[in-house]
Amino acid sequence: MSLWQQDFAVFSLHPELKYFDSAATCLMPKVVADAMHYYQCFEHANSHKGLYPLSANATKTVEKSREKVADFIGASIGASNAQEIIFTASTTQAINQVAQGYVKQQINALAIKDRVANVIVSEAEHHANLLPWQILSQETGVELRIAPITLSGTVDLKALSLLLDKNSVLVAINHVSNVLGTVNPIAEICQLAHKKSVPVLVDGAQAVGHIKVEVEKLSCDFYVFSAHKMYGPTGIGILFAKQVYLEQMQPLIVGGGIVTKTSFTEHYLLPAPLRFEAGSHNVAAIVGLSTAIDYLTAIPLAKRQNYLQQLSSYLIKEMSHLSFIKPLLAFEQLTTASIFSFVVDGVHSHDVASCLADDNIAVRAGHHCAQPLHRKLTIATSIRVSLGLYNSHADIDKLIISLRKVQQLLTIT
Amino acid sequence: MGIYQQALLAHHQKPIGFERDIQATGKLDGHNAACGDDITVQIKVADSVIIQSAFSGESCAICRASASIMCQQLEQLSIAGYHLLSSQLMASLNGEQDFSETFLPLSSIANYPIRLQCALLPWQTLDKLLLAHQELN
Ligand SMILES: Cc1ncc(COP(=O)(O)O)c(C=O)c1O
Repeated sequence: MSLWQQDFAVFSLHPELKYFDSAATCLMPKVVADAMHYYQCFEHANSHKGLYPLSANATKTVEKSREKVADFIGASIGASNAQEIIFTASTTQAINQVAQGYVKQQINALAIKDRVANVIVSEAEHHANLLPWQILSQETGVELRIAPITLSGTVDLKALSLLLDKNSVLVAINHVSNVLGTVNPIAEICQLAHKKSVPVLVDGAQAVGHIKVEVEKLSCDFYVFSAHKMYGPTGIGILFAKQVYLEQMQPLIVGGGIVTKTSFTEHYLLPAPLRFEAGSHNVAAIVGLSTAIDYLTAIPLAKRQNYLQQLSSYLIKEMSHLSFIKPLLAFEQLTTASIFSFVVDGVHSHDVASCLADDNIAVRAGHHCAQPLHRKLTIATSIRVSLGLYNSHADIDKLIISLRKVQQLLTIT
Repeated sequence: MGIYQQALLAHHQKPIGFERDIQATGKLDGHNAACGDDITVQIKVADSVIIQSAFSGESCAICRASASIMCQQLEQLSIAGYHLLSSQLMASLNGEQDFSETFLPLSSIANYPIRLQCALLPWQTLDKLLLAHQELN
């Protein structure tokens, strides 16, 4: 039994639910939903604009949350470095902001010198960290270099260092793979890249809230993530960027709330972070993110991690006993990641997921927005099981029983 | 009611027309991006009548069962007869009419809108194939 399952109201309505799709989005603790509801009912106002107390409070809420986020991801101690935290709508939007607002300039600056810039990503990126670079490539001719992954599912550092050169303008890489669950050695990647003066963007969508993330220690230049993958709401994400890059980056989206002065012909932008937050803030979602951080920090990280590692070891052990389960990474390579992808031999992934759904088991089937990775592994689709704090050993037992049933029902005899 | 009823599973286990060797006059690949289904439909047509049909490819059980039912019905069916049949299936899946005996194995899919496309793929592929066929002749 999970110590935390009772914190999630959805189980009071659906006690039979076995939710194994936390990598898509985590279920939300009731305290998070309640905080958002309270804000909407009693504190809702437009932040950063009104002079009356309700609005001033909303502003304070947003800025306090910014500091909380900064502390949570080890961006700073205190308020000043919170200026490196930008609220975006999502990981996806944050990556697009960096691509169009910063990297594009760097590419153009090299083009003036007749040099063709390159951006390096890994083979195991989510489409959110691939398409923005493909678009840039179509727009500017920047070369998109793909760093291979090793058999253990992390980026091949040797190969990566060979791809880095004086025309590299960015390494963009996931912290934790949303398909393989593997953790990339970000500190080492940053060291390699920085030796060639190349900044690093880390897609931390699957990392924050699940493993220890300290952006300053990792020494990455950009770090992005979404609240809804760490028990918060959708509609809010974070772009952390070092001050030097914030000063060079242009906002991708412009409008109200980001200028000091505007005439019919020109405008003067506010400094970061507000210059990147045009339009009204999604304060309710920011309240949700802030409360999700409170929820998580109230449980010691080691305790959360130990629990999930125990669960995932159990999951992997049980799965390895099923001869028809073919993991995307060899079982001996699987450590204690809380994301596990596999195929059921001879059964289409969507049939597996539909059958499990009939047993109240929620898993993901498809390419999980990582189609090139699936191609490389020469499969079309897979099934992904991802764990959250609400999962228990009993959930895994149910999953295993259902998988046996699915295999019997659907394997062609 | 689950989606995988016995009648559907029977078609999945022993699909009619699967990898059947025919003297095809037309052949087309169909793809369902959402599911990753790939199916190839082949037909032999003479004088606006479908003489033989076959399908192959990697697809989910629902697509496979639907293709099997399609091939079961196609033999010696006129193209006009096929279109009538296909429109009956659409109407049933859309909840506009009851499922006829022929399509009963697919009836559970009406409750799973997300999987409708899997059932429709073989039929849509054949629609396109027949269109191309007609333009050619
Ligand atoms: C590794 C990774 N990057 C990016 C994203 C995109 O996140 P969002 O949809 O919140 O923008 C996801 C979500 O699936 C992800 O797993």
